[in-house]
Amino acid sequence: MISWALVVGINHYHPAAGLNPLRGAVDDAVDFAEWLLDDQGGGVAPENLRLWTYPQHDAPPPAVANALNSPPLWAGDAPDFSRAPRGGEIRRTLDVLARDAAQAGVDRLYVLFAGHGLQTRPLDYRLPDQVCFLAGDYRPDFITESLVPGDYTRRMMRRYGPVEVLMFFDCCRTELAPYQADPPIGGALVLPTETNRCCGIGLAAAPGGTAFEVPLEAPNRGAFTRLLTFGLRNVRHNEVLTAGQLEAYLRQALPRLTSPRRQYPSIELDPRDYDLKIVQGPAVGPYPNLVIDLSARAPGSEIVVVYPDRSQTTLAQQPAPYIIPAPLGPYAFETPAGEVLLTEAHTGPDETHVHLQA
Amino acid sequence: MSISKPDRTSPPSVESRLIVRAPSGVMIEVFDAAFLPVESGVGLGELDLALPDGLYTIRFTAAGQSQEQIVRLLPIAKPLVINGGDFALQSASPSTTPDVSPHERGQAAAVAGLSALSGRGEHAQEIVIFVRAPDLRTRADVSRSLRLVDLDGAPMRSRDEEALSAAALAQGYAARRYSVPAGIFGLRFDTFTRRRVQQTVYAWPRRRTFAFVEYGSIPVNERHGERFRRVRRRGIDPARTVLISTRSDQSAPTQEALRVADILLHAVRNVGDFLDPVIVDQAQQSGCPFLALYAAAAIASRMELSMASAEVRWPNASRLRKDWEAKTAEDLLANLPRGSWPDGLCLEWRLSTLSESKSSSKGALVAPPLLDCAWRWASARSVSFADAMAPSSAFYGAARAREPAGPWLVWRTAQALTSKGPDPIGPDGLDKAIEAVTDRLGLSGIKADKNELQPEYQLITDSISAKLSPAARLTANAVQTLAMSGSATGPIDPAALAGFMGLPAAELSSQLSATFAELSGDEAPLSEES
Repeated sequence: MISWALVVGINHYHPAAGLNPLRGAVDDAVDFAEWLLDDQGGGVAPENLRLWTYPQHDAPPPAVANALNSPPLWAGDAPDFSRAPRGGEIRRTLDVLARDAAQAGVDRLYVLFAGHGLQTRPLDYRLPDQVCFLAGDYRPDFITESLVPGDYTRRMMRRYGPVEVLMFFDCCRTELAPYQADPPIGGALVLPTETNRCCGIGLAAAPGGTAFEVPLEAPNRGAFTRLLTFGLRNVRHNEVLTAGQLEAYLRQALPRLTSPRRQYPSIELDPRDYDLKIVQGPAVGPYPNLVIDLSARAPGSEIVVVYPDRSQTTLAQQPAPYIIPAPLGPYAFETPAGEVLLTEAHTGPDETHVHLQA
Repeated sequence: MSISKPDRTSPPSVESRLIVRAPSGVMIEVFDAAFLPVESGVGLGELDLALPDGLYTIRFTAAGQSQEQIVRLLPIAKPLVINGGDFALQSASPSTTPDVSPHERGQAAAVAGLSALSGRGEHAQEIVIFVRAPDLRTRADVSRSLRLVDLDGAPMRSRDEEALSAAALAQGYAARRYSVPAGIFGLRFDTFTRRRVQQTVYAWPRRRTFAFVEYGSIPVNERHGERFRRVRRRGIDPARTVLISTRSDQSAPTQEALRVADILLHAVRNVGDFLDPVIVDQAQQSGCPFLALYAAAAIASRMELSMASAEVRWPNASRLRKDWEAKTAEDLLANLPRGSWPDGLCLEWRLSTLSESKSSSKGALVAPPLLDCAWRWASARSVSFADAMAPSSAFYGAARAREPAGPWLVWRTAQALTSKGPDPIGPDGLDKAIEAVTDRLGLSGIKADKNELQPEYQLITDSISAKLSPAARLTANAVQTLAMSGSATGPIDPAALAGFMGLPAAELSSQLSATFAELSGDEAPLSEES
């Protein structure tokens, strides 16, 4: 499979933008880029990865650093890493990339945006509420130019993009005040090439929702991309990860990571019934730990742990917690007689702590 | 602490039974432990599945909200029964589901308490407006700007104002009661974007209309010198309003009726989302004309998409679907009270267009309708029937000053009151105006057999887009979207453009003329001779 990619991560916007600085968007973009460059991951060759973060990452992983040594052009221009990319630059590059990738026979195009975002509230009820990523030239008094629109980009990809396109928007979907104009459609107008078979969009939050950075008390990563890259590396069934599985995983895992705040992600495929296999190959691992505390249970008692694959193990009560590297999925904790005491989802990327009461 | 790797056993798989139940309008999805979908359904009432014992995740979804739970299916004969889907929907109507706050539960009790107020007014109809504040801290009079007006714009006088005010403010809500004749009224208020707006509300014969209005907030950027600061503005969020009715001799609407209203309004606003036929049946049997309208509008909107071969989720797909849709929509409309209800008329027009029936109802709207989609259908109608709308300021306001508040039609009153409408224009004039703009955008002459980028088709580049006014950009985007949709071989249908933009014929012509002038870079508007 031949894959290309475009990745943007912006932590710092212009002071006049009135936006809080982010802490995790650059790390999110670099982490995703590292997965893309991995042969067991996205399988993107370094010369086909367009990565632009602002500011530059302090110490990118070797594979990413190598790719940044000779970055490809963005719509014919060399990227200026001393500033954040502008909306027009991103839109033009997506347009050129889509057409070039289709003509070159590329199988898949990956796109990720990590940073601030908003959602338009269109006048036309038939148009979906559209998530827009805010590029580096965002200004509240002249918004249009800085918007990278999700739905318009999806339509463009469906018209003349490569065979499969998978886009992720890790940004908020707080609603734009309704009297603002719609984002530009952008893109040259050509008739459909019928090359594209599917375009998927992964959205970090529900309409009107916030995409949080975690951990909440000292954020350093976007919750969505953190789980996205973890899921891409570790969620499998028979060594396959589909878009549906990834969405189900993200929807189970994200609320636990952002609790007590609520964040509801989604992955929407166009067309809906396309069977998109994102990864085929073993999980990277290692599994995160399941920490099971039975100290409150009666001495001599036992607990049966039921794994996602239905296998079981019996643990005796002890003062110290059990630390078990465990595959991802739902778990049940029962008495030997079969009474279910607790169910818990072990979704990573950190340890899951389970405390069973007396 | 040390890492453990305890031995695991794998008992033989035993087929067990999982029964999942949910109310109408709730989609049930079951996932296995590998995050793979097992089964899903809506409108079934329950899913009864034979599955290997193990762990599963069940997701309940309604009106865009979801709830999940993990279940352990034991290897025993007794089926595991899971009931779910009883959670609060994002709505202005107060809920009593287990997950709501005590504050909201108190407001639900307050709604029920309204009916305890004694005495009937002069008329057999009543409009009750319930403005809900998000929390007890919002103690300001949230209904300060609220007004109910008649068709002429004259404000109506509310009843029991003092009694309602004292009790209401203590609980963080405001309420007004109006005794009114049956007919069409306007609700005026200030939104959280500091716009004074109006929307239509009906007083059905011998019924009590409840309007639940949400006092919300939205983040906006405020300029401070050269910088901007994000602040939250509070006010009424027009998109969250819920309208429902009960018989005049009945108390407040039931929680179930409010739930049905929430789900149907979500279905009207989100046309690509699933629509449960059971919810439509409930709307039909409820006797509430609002619910009947919402269900008919939700169906008609989906019929449009079917006609355009768009993909819509329909879990109970059958070859009878289209017949069911058309007949059900007509039955719902037939149950509306007699009278010239704008939404009913708009729906009849749309259904006759979709069925290509020549026997469409004549008549004209006496006021803008409730629903935004109905307004679009009326706008499309106005291309061939110039008298479909009366040339009044309310129609002009709805045409030129709409606020995005789907599914409702909401417009700014200031522009409606001070502006004069453009001169009427015939269909031929519209064709020419559309052709001129299409040509200026470089879209003319696109043929189906051309699949290469032609320089003259390069349009709406960022530089052009940045120079257009917001209204011109919307017009250009609409023309482009319609020109490139479907086979894109013929001229754009003026009715389709009018409906797409929600602009009646005269307004559409005016807007096309202004857009042509901007694209041409001069002040000269499009003339009949262009």
